[in-house]
Amino acid sequence: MIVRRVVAWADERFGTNALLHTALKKIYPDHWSFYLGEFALYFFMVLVGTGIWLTFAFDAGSQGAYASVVQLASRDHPIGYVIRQIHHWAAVCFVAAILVHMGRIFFTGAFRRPRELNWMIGVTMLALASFTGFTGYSLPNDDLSGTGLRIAYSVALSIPLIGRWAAGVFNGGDDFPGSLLTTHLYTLHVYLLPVMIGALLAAHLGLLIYQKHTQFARDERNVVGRRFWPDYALRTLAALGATLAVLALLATFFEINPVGDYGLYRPWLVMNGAVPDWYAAFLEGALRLGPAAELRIAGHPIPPVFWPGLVLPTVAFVFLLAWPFIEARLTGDRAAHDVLDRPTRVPLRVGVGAALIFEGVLLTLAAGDDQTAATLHVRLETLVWVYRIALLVGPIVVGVVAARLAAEMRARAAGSPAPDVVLLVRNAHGGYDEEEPQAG
Amino acid sequence: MTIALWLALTIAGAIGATVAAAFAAPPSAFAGALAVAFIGLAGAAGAAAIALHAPDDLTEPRSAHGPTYAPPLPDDGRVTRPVFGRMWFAALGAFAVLGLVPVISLARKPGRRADTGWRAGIRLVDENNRPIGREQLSDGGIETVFPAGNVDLPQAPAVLIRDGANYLAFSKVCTHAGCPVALYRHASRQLICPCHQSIFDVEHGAKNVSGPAPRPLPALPLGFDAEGYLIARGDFDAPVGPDDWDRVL
Amino acid sequence: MLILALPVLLAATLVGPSPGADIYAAKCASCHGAQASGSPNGPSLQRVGLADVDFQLTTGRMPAANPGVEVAHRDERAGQQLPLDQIRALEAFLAPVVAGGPPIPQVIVGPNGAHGRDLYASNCMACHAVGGNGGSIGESDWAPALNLATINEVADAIRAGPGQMPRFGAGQLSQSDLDDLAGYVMSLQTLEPGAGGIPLHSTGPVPEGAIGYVAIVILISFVFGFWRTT
Repeated sequence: MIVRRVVAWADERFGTNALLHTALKKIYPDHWSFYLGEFALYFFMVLVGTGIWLTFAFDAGSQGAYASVVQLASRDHPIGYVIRQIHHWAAVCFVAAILVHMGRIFFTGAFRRPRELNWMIGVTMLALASFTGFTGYSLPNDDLSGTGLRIAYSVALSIPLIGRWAAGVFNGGDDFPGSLLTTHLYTLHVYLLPVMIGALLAAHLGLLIYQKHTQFARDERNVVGRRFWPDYALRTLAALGATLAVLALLATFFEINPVGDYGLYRPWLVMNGAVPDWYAAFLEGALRLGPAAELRIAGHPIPPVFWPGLVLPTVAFVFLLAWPFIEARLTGDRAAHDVLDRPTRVPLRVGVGAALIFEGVLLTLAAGDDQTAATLHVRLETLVWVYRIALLVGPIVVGVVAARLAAEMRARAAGSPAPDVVLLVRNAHGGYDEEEPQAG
Repeated sequence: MTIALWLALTIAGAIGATVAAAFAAPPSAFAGALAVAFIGLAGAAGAAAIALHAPDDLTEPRSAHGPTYAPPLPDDGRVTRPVFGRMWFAALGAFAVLGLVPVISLARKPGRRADTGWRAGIRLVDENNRPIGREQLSDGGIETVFPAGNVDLPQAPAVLIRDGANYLAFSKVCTHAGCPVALYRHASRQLICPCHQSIFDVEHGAKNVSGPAPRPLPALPLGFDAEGYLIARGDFDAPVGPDDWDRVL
Repeated sequence: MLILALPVLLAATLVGPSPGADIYAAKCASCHGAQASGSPNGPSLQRVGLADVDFQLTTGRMPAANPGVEVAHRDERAGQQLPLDQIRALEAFLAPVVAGGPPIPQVIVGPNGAHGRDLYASNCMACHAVGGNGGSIGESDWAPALNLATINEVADAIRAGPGQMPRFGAGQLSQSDLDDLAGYVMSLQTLEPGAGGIPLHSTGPVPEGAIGYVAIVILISFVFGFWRTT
């Protein structure tokens, strides 16, 4: 009753009934894999909500930052403790959800024309989410994240020509750590980066609504699926509930990022096993595997961290960004598509995707190469060389094998005989023998 | 019916969480109650969706793709003078270059010939500003040291190692990415940086023998003053920490 | 009766070797040499100090079954292989040989836990990691986890610097420093619940990331199962 009156009130003033009607009767294609993007969205919403709360608990001046976060980890502040735990778990899951969602988009070809821009927006949001996570967990100024910041500062410093300037923007111009570092991180993490993600997210969803969601093959010219109200709305509500439940369960059972144990950052202190959060681990692995060579151009050094720390992720990012156009050029398929591919339909895509996943996983594993070497009783130097060779040769092997497998699966799906056809052949004794029908 | 059960779970969880918060229960009690509430919500919404038995093959038409419209500019709105057209772009370009100014002025380059704090005659001290005596370290011992009076300079920290009767000191700032080189394998006389596993050979001037570090750790020349405390006899013999473009050697 | 017993007693002390010498000959000499000067299989014990001997024996690293194989990799107490009285006998026997190195230290749990934590951060954390979880120290070696060590083993290791571990003598860490630091290490072993109430402490970003992915898998299973049923 109340809802009806509110809706009528709004319609009298803003003419909203027509818009609401269109929105509520809109058809959404339904497949379990289409919920992955929703998980990412819900994680982001939780991050913003818990994050706003945390800005009231956090002391953004460099001196008080650590103490204010350690306070949240004490028994005296159970609500703050849970909110902070949910916030950090949501960040870890947010980037994972984006990556899995991106994988679904990639392997089903949803990025093809006319959705190239949406793909590029999504890839950009992946990068921004990783930066937001990195700046966020560096805010408490603890020893683990401070070590990571020092490395990031060195990577910024390594940029040719503008390295010192770039590093100066990062922390206010002094040598590391500098008095403005926490403040700058705060500005980035609380304001700039979330606003950028929010704006891109709005564009992402807007494009999705306007261009309509892709679907697996049922109909080329129509969207086939479920009505938003009440059907799809309930389903998406269930997804939201599941997301929140998973986060609450994580906060109940697993402690994350115990900065009280890490201690305040001091530039001369470091802990064994210092690695970044998982989504930056591929960079850590790349830094460990990178060669020690320092090039010089007219006497100016290009430090070795430049290549694995900056060039590698930039090349990867640009490659991902441009993939819709690269694939269109390589396959010659420039038509618009609203129907999704079975992943095996384009072996090239499967091969490239498998190669990229292999590289990413390998570099992430390399971030723990010292622990791996000690556990397997092999010399670290040996393992580093194994990883380096795998890094160069592996993606080619994995890509080719994956593409071949996909091609074979595609061929078998296309040319398989009907399962209930059997060839009966009369034999010499007058009986019948079964024979395999020849592949058509 | 099951929907009602799920919703009962949701309500129980939400009330439980509120109660837990009011009575300052441990965080996992609060979080656990939240989890119950959200599981109930997911279950209720899911059960309701299933109970709808709604069709999944409703259709609505897609919009066509491709150039479907006439060019967007109205006919009487065309700019017809190419010269003025091009100069507009020139102005835009000039503003773009001007726009670099606030960006560049965001930072001034940090002075990288930053003071390490070490000079001839300065005593080595530990992090509590106590000087290091001749017998302070055991053979095979390691300690982090700073220049007296300047414990806070970021390029200052050094590791002091005693190898037999020799004292050696090297910069603690790794020449790869700046992490503190804090791991000492005393039997192998190797310093290791735990970040990316660069290994430095202490008996050969902390030469970088393995890993991604491009240069040895700078060495600090040592001596003893009249009271028998360790002093530096000069600054490090090479620039501290990772290089950058402006550090032309 | 005593007159009869006396020659027997005299004979025992003059003719028979001490119990420590027997144990050394049986369990140690094959690698460390009959004169404890070392051999191709094991290092010399001259002047290593009783602290090192006590550490190796009480943690069960020595006697080593296979020379050259790293003993008790990631040792979390391989278990004392020799009973305590034999260890004491060995130490008594080796005392003149190993003299010159650090003696077995006295230690009690120190009163100042915060000071102990600072000392741990400055001197131990780089190898033994946060919370005494241990970690890799290059090549294929490991700084062990500290969760099963006794306070005497911790003090022995600090003073002796066994294996690749550096040596922290009395000049660098005073007796009260040693007490505080050893006390802090002992406090790491009591698995008090994290502030969350459930003692599942994080051991770093690696398991955290893995659990994050498990959470995603759980969510995917939920929607997949849900989608399948409708």
